Amino acid sequence: MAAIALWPSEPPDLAGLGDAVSDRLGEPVTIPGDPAGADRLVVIVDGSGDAVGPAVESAAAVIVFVVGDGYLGTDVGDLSAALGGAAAVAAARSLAVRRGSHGRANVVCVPEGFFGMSGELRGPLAHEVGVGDIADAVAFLLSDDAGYVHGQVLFVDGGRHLFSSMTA
Amino acid sequence: MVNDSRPVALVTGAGSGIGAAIARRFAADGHVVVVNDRDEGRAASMAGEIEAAGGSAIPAVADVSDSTAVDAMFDAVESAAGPVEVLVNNAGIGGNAAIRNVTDDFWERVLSVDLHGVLYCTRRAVGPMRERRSGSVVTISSRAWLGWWGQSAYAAAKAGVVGLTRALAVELGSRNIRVNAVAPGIIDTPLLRDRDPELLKRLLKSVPLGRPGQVEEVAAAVAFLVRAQAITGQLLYVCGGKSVYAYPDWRGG
Repeated sequence: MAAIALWPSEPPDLAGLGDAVSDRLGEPVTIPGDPAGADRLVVIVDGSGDAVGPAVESAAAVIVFVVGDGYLGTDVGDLSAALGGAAAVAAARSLAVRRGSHGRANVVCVPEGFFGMSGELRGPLAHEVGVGDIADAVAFLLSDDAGYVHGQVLFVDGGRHLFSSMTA
Repeated sequence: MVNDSRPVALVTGAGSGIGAAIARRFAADGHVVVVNDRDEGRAASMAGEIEAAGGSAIPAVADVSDSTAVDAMFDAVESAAGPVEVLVNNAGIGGNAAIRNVTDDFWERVLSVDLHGVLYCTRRAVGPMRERRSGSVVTISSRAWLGWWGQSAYAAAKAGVVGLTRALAVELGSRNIRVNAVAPGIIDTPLLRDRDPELLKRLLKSVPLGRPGQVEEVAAAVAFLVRAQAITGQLLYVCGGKSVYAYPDWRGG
């Protein structure tokens, strides 16, 4: 099976995500300079959303965007942090319809704290979100267990998203 | 009481279809599976199948729309197997009727199983979960809650369970109880295979993946939510992308 790539890079607060996904799937995860060669692509989308366009243009059959929850309206103190998440969600939904049966695209939404912003890493749930929890969700969406999950947003946030109307 | 370290998972409506697939998946994942069905034969047969395959299962007969029967079922299960760590509210009935045909009886029948049944099982299950500060509830909603022709009662019930899920996720989070929902789209079940092939072909045009989902794919999503320690209140569509935008090229009415 062709390679899994994480692109463009792991921000400091998500350090170890690629290795953790690799552990769960039993396959290597590389961090290449260019997303073009990957069969399955994990796209780390910062507030700018600059990574979304090249990911959409890549030939990857399965795409998982990882975004912060600023686009839901959570107070991240900086409007620009909200744009990347909105771009990735729109891209995943559009890809789902445009590509049809040729691959799958989904989003994992995490607290903005994983993108260097201030804010809690927990919601109503007592459990604090860790990189391992995010890796579990990314690995699920890359795997055949999620074979019928297409164009969706998975919130790995202890339930923070429940306070937003954009989440059902 | 059985001294078994494997977590007990109760699946309602597990005698057939999506519920049976969830029961099989849980058995493979190492749960003791309580196979609920309102039909005694189906519950026994499914539990027997799991045991024969080397898993651990207990049949439990109850109609989820009867709160007294639900409470009695949980009492019996807890005595026999210990606390219920995982509840999957899967039991449901379909219902297709134009609004002019939605009688009081029809509405009440759909809501009594698809919404009230979820309340009765969840309310009973989360009591001991609160005490133990641990538990997971997954309810099977439906993509149909977004709206579809002839689905007013069904959509109301399946929307109701989304609200119930979200409210309980907020309310029970501090007790470490996770409450999530799965919204299947068009799934390959015996009911679907009975549909007119031409109608099915048209229905599948509204699914980006271009095929019905398999019951095992719904079960895999449920199994993921049960083990995902940081996810609560999620509505996970397992619909091949149909929920993204499903304006069809035909009109019901």
